[in-house]
Amino acid sequence: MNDMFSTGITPRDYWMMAYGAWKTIQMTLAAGLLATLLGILLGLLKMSRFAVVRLAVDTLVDVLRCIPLLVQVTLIFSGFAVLGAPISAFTAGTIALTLFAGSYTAEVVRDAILAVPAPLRRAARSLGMTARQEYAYVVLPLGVRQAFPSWLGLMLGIVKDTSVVAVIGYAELLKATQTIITRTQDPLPLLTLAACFYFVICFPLSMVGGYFERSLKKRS
Amino acid sequence: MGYTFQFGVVLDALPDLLSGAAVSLSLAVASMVVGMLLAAPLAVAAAGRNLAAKAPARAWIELARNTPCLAQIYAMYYGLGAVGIFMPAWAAVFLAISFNNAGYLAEIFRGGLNGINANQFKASRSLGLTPAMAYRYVVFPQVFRNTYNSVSNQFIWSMLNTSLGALIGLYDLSGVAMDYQMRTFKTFEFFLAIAVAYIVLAKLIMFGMRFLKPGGANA
Repeated sequence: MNDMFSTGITPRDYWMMAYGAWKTIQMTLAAGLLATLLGILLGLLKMSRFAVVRLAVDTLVDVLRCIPLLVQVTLIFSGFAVLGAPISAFTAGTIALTLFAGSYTAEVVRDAILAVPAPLRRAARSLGMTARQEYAYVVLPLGVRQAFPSWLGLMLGIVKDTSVVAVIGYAELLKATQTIITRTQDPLPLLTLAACFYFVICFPLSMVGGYFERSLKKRS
Repeated sequence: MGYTFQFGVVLDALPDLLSGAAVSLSLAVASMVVGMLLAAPLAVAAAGRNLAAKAPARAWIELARNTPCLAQIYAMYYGLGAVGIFMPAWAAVFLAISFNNAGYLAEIFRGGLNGINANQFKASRSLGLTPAMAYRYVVFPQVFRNTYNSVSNQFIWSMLNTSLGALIGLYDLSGVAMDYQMRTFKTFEFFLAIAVAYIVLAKLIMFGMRFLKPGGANA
């Protein structure tokens, strides 16, 4: 009872922020996985033989990059409702982040494939590899090394971009912080704590990323 | 079910939407100019050996790049408000996005500085230029040219990021749409309209940057 009316920061508030951080992580994992898959698909389509396909993908990527995430999230959330099939804030946010990050991943994937030297790929084919084998054993191992740092940067971007999904009511870390601030009217410690949470989420990721990058370099 | 799209209300709101677009674009331009002015010395400090300059520059860059832009806007608006510094929403967004731009642009410029042969700086110094002049007349003109495309992308990014200002009551494109959405409940129509408007603004920036490119559009 006392908790409810107190204006100080209570232990329950820290718990609420930790829970918000967990929701941020959940959405990052879901959107990160889907965006990677979408990015690989779009990246491969970008290199299609058919000009129509290339044009379609380029237009899609261009449009997705020119609209603020805030607007995309709201459009997807309200668009599904308008169609008569409302979806949860989590689903809408995940779809929006997947499309947004996927369009950037597509560029990374394309650059990675182009970074594999063409003579090497021709050599693979002349050794009798099929197109599929060429991609699996030559392009993929070399391309992953090339793409990894940029890809990791995009994943870290998703962690930060989940904060935008708050507009449709997804109570992730920043939204939880904002809610507590509304009651305590004491923004500085809480915003600092939120920044620390983001750091705690992002820093190990970039550490792990740096480790993988070095070990990939060592092996090549 | 069956939903009737009503774009009439959007047309009625056109004057407000246009002034909102002007707010978005002018905030983007202003924060980009300030961001670039701050980013150049930041990049030099971050790339240098002087630890007293390097440490704060690195801290600025890491903080700007590793926290959400929305959190930065909140920090300016609510955070500074807590210590008695109050400002209107546009000023908070302007400061936050300038801070954000400076961090990202500094990292872009740092990459550009690495690509410039260090002997050029030494040669300018031996010709009697001060370090500031060497950077101003020899090094940075090349850095700007080599990083031009990344800088253009950052410009578009910062324009898209101004949309977050709507959450602290800024009356930019997104702010106008949110306001009208509350009055008319036509969320989808308004956000579709501003999505198109944002694409137009982004294309405008792209076109403008191509026009301003040193050496002409085809360089």
